[in-house]
Amino acid sequence: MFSPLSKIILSVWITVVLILGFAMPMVPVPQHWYELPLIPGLEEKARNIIFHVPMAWTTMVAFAVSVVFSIRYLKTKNYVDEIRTVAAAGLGTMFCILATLTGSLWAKFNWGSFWNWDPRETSIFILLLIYSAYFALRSAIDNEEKKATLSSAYAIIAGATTPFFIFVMPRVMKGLHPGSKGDEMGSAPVAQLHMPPNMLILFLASIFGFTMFFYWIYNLKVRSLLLEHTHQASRH
Amino acid sequence: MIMDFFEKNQLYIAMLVVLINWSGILFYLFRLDSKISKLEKSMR
Amino acid sequence: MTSMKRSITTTYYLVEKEILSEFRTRYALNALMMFVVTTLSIILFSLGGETVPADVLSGLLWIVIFFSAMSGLSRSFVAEEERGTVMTLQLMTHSTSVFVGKLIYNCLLALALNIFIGLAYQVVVADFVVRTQSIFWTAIILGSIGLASASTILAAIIAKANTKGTLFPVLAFPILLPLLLTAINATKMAADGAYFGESVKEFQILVSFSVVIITLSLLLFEHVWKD
Repeated sequence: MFSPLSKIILSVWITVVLILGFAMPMVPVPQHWYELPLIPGLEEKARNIIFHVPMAWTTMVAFAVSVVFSIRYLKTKNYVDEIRTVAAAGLGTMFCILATLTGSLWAKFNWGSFWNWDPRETSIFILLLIYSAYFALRSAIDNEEKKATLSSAYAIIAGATTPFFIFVMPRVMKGLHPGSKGDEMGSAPVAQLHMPPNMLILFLASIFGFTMFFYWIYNLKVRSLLLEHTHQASRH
Repeated sequence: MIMDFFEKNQLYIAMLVVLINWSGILFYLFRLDSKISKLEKSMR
Repeated sequence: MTSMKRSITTTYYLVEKEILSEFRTRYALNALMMFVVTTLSIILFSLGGETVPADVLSGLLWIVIFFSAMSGLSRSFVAEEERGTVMTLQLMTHSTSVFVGKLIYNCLLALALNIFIGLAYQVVVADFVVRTQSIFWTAIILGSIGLASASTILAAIIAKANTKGTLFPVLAFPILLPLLLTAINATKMAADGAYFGESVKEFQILVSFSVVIITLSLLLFEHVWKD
């Protein structure tokens, strides 16, 4: 699935993104292509957008992957789909925790407190709850097939409620993230990005890099789960 | 004290963020590695 | 056409059966009423005559509703598993009829319970003055239907798990949160005396939540029900 060359390219890609994320100088008025704007109040912390947002994005991708394979599992009842769901959910939990930790660290220095119950903070918290509920449900069922069917059903229901947060959250609570209600740059369900082109390219490169990186680890996890499955099947 | 340091040297906040990500990914890889090792042992 | 008619009659009989078996023992209703009374008195003790803003009070109301729904609606399929009537239902009826029957019964139970809670809360908590009753009761009714619809499919899932009681709120909370937050917001508006038209968006969210969950449940229930 992954050729050795593509792994090397991906490694270099992420390394370059990380280096540029730190190395591109921040100046009040950017003149050259390599200079990023220094926004008062954000200052050097603005670099976090390169390192924090991809975690939240990857969490969402992982969640979508697990919902899609849950649907496929219920249609096909093929254990491979079940394994893909579990692998994506497990990795999604990891990225979700990372997004929460890095986000709350950034929030401490930008907004003064580790946790503010801003819409997007609440959403990531709920995603964490969904993931833990999913794994709690799985651990409560012994029969493998039953476990797969019921947890897939739960993942689909949970997936269907997530769009509501996009409509509900901004009406219920004030937002601090860009793109929230009351943002003078304009509010949108998904953050609108007001960045100079060079920063935008770096940001998108980071998002892409980490998505591919997710796919790589996900692939490893799926392969190990498949091995485990065939091993257990051969033993019985 | 620590807060003052980070307020003055904001680049280190970004470094801390990357450090959190890195340790999380490492933790995951270590766990995956040990799971595969266990699997290999039981397969032998 | 006849099969349609037959499944409607089956559903009707299932609802009737639920209500009859409920009224024979009055277990759920009595226990739930006591649960509500207990929770309300705990809230009254902890408030202790302090003046509390309407925001907090509307939140507290929905906490009472959430937890009483969790203890009341989680049992709908567990009872079936315990009595050993699952097989009979699986053999004799279509799974959609079973689901719709349970859903209607749960809706009725949730409505009865939440209307009782709404009345009791307004009478007992002196600081909680609802200026726009129409918003308040619409939120209660739509909220009850939403709670019942999500609880029914989750109860079907939970009935097959080993730890039946404890897991239910864990599974339900993240799914019900958009509904609860919207309902709390509408209740706040009712307490603040907003016009009915101002909270239409809230009601749209509540209705579409129930529609989405019920449609999905109808698709998923067959997989969950048949093992």
